[in-house]
Amino acid sequence: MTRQPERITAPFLDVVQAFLDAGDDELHGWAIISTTGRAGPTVYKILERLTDMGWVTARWDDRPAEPNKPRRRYYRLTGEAVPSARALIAERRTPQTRATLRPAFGGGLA
Amino acid sequence: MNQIWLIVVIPVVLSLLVNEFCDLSPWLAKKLIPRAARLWSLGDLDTAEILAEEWAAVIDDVPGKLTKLGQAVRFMGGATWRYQRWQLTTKYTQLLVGLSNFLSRVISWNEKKSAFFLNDLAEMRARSKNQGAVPAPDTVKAKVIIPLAVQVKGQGNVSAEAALFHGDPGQIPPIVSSNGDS
Repeated sequence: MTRQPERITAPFLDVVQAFLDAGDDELHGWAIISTTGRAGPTVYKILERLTDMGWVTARWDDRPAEPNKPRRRYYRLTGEAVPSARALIAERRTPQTRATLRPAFGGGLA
Repeated sequence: MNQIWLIVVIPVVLSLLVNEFCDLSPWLAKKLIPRAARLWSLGDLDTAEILAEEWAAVIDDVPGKLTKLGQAVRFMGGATWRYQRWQLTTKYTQLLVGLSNFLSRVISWNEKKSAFFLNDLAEMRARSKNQGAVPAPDTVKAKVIIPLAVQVKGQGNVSAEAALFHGDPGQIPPIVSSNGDS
């Protein structure tokens, strides 16, 4: 059972987008941080919310633990959440507009 | 001669310090992470343990040495901010609860005070009617008067002492208006 997000922010959309781009692959913490370019605490706050909403599941790295090497935790978007995530991104993400220093005569967009 | 000595020594010492700090920063980052995880989890030790290992893995994945420390400091900053906000919210809630308790006590104290004032008034009227004799104890009782006084307050234009002299503590007496109609 998945819930809809109560508060949608730009970092939230970035994280959801990263999961959609990953497809069936699982993502670990640093992969999400480096893909989204958001700070660690921001990403983990969103991961907490996504887990509470039932959009994301987490599991520990099942490879045998190496000495002095902490285990990674992998996250994946659940199958149930994929349509909602796609709909959310389609609704909220406008096509990227590029900032330019050139003066915008005649209303800006050519 | 002195200046040449400084020109040679200062860069060497500085480069040694920077090198040492770079080697030290991953160790420092690993020390910071469990503390950050404890703050982040707001007292939940199981969650703190999970986060500490997970964030340590994140720090491990970060390339470079100084950047590891930078990432750990960010985690620490975020966790501290979250902890402070949680503490502030808790204190604010406690303050509101305390304030509401205080206000309810003040209100109930005011009600009691007005009830006892009516009690005194009723006793004075009774004394004047009985030519100074003390009225019978069952006619004026605080236990009976307190609910009556509340009822009288709610009724508006009624005379309180008239309502008080109907005696039977088990029954609520009829309210008598100030012009004598019941």
